[in-house]
Order: sequence, then structure tokens, then C-alpha cells
Amino acid sequence: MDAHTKQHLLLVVDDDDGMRDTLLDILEERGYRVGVAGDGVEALDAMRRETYDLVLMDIVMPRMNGVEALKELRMIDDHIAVIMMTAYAMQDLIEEAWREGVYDVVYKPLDVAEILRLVDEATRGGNGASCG
Amino acid sequence: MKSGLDRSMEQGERILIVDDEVDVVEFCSEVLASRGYRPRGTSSGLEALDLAKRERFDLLLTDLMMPEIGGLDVLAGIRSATPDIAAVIITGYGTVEMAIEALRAGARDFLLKPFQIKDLLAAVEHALAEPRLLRERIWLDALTPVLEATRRFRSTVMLDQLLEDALATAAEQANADSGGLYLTTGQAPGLRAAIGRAETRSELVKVCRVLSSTFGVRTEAFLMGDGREMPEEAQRLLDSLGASSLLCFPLLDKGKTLGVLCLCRDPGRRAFSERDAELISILGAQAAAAIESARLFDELERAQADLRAWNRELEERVEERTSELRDAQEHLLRAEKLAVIGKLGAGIAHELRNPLGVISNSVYYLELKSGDADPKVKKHLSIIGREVARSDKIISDLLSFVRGAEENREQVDVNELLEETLSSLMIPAPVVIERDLGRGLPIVMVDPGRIRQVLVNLITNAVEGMSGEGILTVGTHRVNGFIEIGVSDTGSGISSENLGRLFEPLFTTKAGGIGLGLAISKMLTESQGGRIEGRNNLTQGATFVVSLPVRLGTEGYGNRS
Repeated sequence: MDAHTKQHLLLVVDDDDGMRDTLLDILEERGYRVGVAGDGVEALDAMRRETYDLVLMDIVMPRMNGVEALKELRMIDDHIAVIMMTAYAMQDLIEEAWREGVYDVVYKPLDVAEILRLVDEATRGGNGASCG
Repeated sequence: MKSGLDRSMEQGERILIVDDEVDVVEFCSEVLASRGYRPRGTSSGLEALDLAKRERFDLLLTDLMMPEIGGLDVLAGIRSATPDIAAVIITGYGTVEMAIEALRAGARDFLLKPFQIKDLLAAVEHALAEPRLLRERIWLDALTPVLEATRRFRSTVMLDQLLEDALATAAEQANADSGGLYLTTGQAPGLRAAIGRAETRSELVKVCRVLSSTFGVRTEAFLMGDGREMPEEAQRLLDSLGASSLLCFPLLDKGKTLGVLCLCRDPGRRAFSERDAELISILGAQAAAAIESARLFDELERAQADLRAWNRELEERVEERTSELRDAQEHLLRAEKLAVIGKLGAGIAHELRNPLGVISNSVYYLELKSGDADPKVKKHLSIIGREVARSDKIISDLLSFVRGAEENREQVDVNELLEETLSSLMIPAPVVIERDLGRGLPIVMVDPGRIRQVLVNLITNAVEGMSGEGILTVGTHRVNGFIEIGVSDTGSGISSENLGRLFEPLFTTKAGGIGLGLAISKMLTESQGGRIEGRNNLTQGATFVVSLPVRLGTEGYGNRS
């Protein structure tokens, strides 16, 4: 709950509402403001409405997968820090995500402490902070 | 082929004519020769005796009164060697006393000088009639056993038996002392039957070989020995056999030489006669035909036996292949079952991973928020956290198996691998670990990751099987071309109904197990060319043994234990 984290707005994109809700609470507990979306289409809608500092997005989702959403998202904001989450070793998609430019890729099951460390790091310095 | 008997009839009997009057000898010779007889004349009684020693005569026509030796003495002299010779006495002085004396000496008739042609012919015919009949009678008598033998031959298809029989019959009928039957064709050419002295057998083989090659152009019996004219080579053959006379008959069937029948008489015995040769010709011809059919029968038998053996072999091969196919099919089914289970398991595992992740997140959140909560609440939160982590571990193991990580074989020292595995496993203290590690074991060429996974499964099972208390024995040994790694426990062992199902997928006796551990272990071990088996110990607990093949040429590298 550091003062500098207060103003950062994060977007959690996951089709699993349990995952969404728990990450929401954990990140809010950490002092972030958090928005949520259930898939890529919803995420793009949210991005158009508001400016986010960081996106945490699952790769495998219905309607529009995380990497497709990432490409669209880059048209709206090509600086935003994105952390991709995946439960599958989908090497092609992961490589594509890296090519599109992501902050990091984390694997499920998530290590919450690691997520928090990455989010803090990305929002404190790096590109996330410049956007904030 | 004409019989010798016919031939002697055609050519006429052999008549020895002795008279000191050369005119008489010439007259008689001329007359008798013109009538088909075979006369041989001499004016000397002594020469007559000499001739009779070398040649066989059927009739002696002799003058009674001769300067050197009398006709009756000539007759007596010839009779001593040829008792059945017929005789006609020629005399110029026809007295009753002389006639009686001549008849006593064995003469059959007289010719009083001067005599007419018809007188001569009548006396000769008269003298020869009885011996001729007798000869024919004897011939017929001799033929009877020969005919019987040929009947026997025809009913025999056993070649060896036939050969023995043919030789024995021939030797008996020709009154031979030794002999052999030599085949040049068929499955086993060579001397196939022999009688008489064993020490001359090898000579007999040589002689038969020479004769059978000679027979390439001969089709008739031939005689050797006892003054008959013969080449030096033949004499050498006789000498080598220690025989005085030899009777050979080529065994021919439809112009094909099958072999040779060879009979011998010992020195001191009379030579074989033409009659003997005749008899053997008849017998031999029949024997040859029978030998050829027996040989063909034999070949047929052999071919059939070969066919039967081949059939048996085929059946065995088919059976073998069928069983191999059955095994392969079972293996495939097992692999397929495992693959299906793997896919299904992977799907389920994956689906479970998300809710587990969510639970894990919730626990994290609750732990953050429960700083001043009841210690029991905190304890239960930590229990949930731990169990979620355990579930996740099971899922990870399953997924890593199903994904079938790429095989990575390298040189592995099994003792080292075993120690590494043991130290990574956190075995509870009440379990005593005993080691029985072989020294100087060869290196094995396997994927250490896979074999480590197998050892982890076996050791974990063993520890759990003892409820965390007992003796865990790990051992390594070399058995033939394999390194055996044994893992024993002192638990309750395996029930007999479970022994056969240990390695079946989804078979488990553990409350919390899913029954993949041993199935996976078997799959991993077999992927490395090894075997795995489980059995109960004689005293207590169970032992699992993993056998890994020792690669040739890796001897002596594993001395690090």
C-alpha cells in the first residue's frame, strides 16, 4: 500500500471469474485500482473507455485470445505494460506475444508473490510508470 | 539277357576227346563240332588230364588202350576233380570183362572201333542224356530258392533289409565265402551289405568301386579266377581280396547302373561256374528291380518325412508368430489404454489446474487478511494451501508424463543415480535405509530422468507401503546382461490377486492414489529396453526389480561406486 501505487490502474483479463475476482482482491489489497474483463473483446472496450497502467491477461480465452487482443490493444496504447498469463505451454502464441512486446509471461499455477513483484516493478519504473 | 544254360545248350556240351590215333581224334572232333558240341581233342592221356584241370568238360571220350596212360586211368584222374563228368570208352577189343571194368569206372557207353558216325552220336547222346537231365533238375532245384527270393524282394520296400536279403541269398545260392553289395546311386552310395571276413571289407569297397566303373559298359555277370584268362588288374583285385575266384553282377535297372553284387570264394575252393553266374544273373536282375523300387520308395518316404518336418516347422512358426502378434496386440492395447488414460488425465488435470489456482489465490488473500484471526483459522488456511500445492504436484507429474518429454540417453552409473534419488526424496526418519550396492557395475545407457522417475515411484511406494516405518533396502546387482536395481520394503506385501495386476493403469490399492505410478514406471522402464517386476519377499514385504540392459562395450567404466 505504498503511496506511489495508489494512482495506478490495472486491468485483469481472464475468462475464469474465480481467477479474476481473486486477483482483483489481491491487487486491490496491494493498493492498486483494478478493472476486470472476461475476454479480449471486453478488454478492448475497457481500454477504449479508460487509460490503464498495466494489463494482466490470460492467453487462452474464448472469442478473442490474449495474443489477438494484445495486437488490437497495441493500436490503442502501444506503450502499456502487459503481463501475459498462461496455463499451457503454447510456444507459438507465447513467442508471438513476446514479438508484440510484453513485460513478461507468467505460467499458471500463478505464484502470487511473483505476480505482485512483477506488477510493482512494472508500475514503479519501466513503461507502466511513464504512462501513469 | 539269355541264361547261361541256354547258351551252353546252343554251344553244346564240352567234350574232351583222347585217342593215341590222331585220325580218330580228328574224325570225332569234326563230327561232334558239326553237331554243335564243343570238342577238344588230344592224342595224349597226360595232356588230357592237364586240360581237364584247367577247363571244365561235360564228357570224356577216351580210348581205352593208350601208350602212356590208359583210358580208365584218365577217367579216374579227371573224376577226382570233376566227379560228374560223363564218359564214353572207345575200344578195339570188345570183351565182356573190359566192358564191366569200364562201367565200374563210370563210363556210360562204349564205342567199338571201327564205328560209324551214328554210333558215335548215339553213344555221346546217351552218355550226356542223364547228366543233362540231372543238371536241369539241379538247375530247377537251384532256381526255386532264387524265385522265392525274388518274390520276397518284391514285397520288401525296406532298402537295407532288401540289400541284406539279396546278398545273403546270392551268397548262399552261389556258395560264396564272402561278398558285398555296393550301391552307386541313392541316398547313401557305398558298400551297403557285406558278408564274410570283415578285414577285407575296405578292399571289397575298392574292388566294387573299380568293378562298378567297369560296369559302365558291361551288362552281364562276369567271372574271374581259377585259370580263367584275365587282365593283371583283375588278378590284383583277387589278391587284394584274398579270394581265388570272383563273381560279379552289375545291378541294372532300365539301363541304369545301381551298383554291383560281388561274390568271392576262398583259395582252395573251386572257382565259380557259369551256372553260378547264371543263377546270380537271374537273382541279381530281380534284386536290381526291387532295389530300385525300394530306393524310390525310400526317396518318397524321405520326401514325405521332409514334408512332414517342414509342416511341423511351419506350424510352429505360425504358432510362434501368432503368439508374438498376440503379445504385440496386448502391448498395443495396453499402450493405447495408457494413451487414452493419459489424454483423459491430462484434460482433467488441466481443468483442475484453474480452480486450484483460484483456491490458491483465495488462500493467499485470506492469509493476508487474517493477521489477527484465530490461530485455528490460520492453521486451516495453511492446510488448504498445502493440499492445493500437493494436488498441483500430482497434476504436474501426470502432465510431464503425458507430454512425454524427449528421451535423453546418456551413460549412467546406477549407484550414483540411486543415491541422488534417495537424497532428493526426504524419506522419513523411522524408515531405515539399507544399501546393497554392487561394485564395479558397468555403465548403462539410459535416460536418467526416466529411470529416476521410476525409482522415485518405487521408493515412494515402498515407504508408503510401510506406513512410514520399516526397512527400505535398495540394491544393485549385475545379472547376465542386465543391471538389476531392487527396491524392497518390510510392509504388508502384495496380495496374490493383486500380483498380476500391479502394472495395470488405474490399478491402485492406495487410498489416495490414482494407479498410474507403476504403469508409468513400467512404460518408462520398457522405453529404456528394461524390465520391471514385483514380487513378495519370503519373509515380509515386497520387492520391485528394475532390470536395465548393459550395453556391450561399456564394461569397466562404472567403478565409481
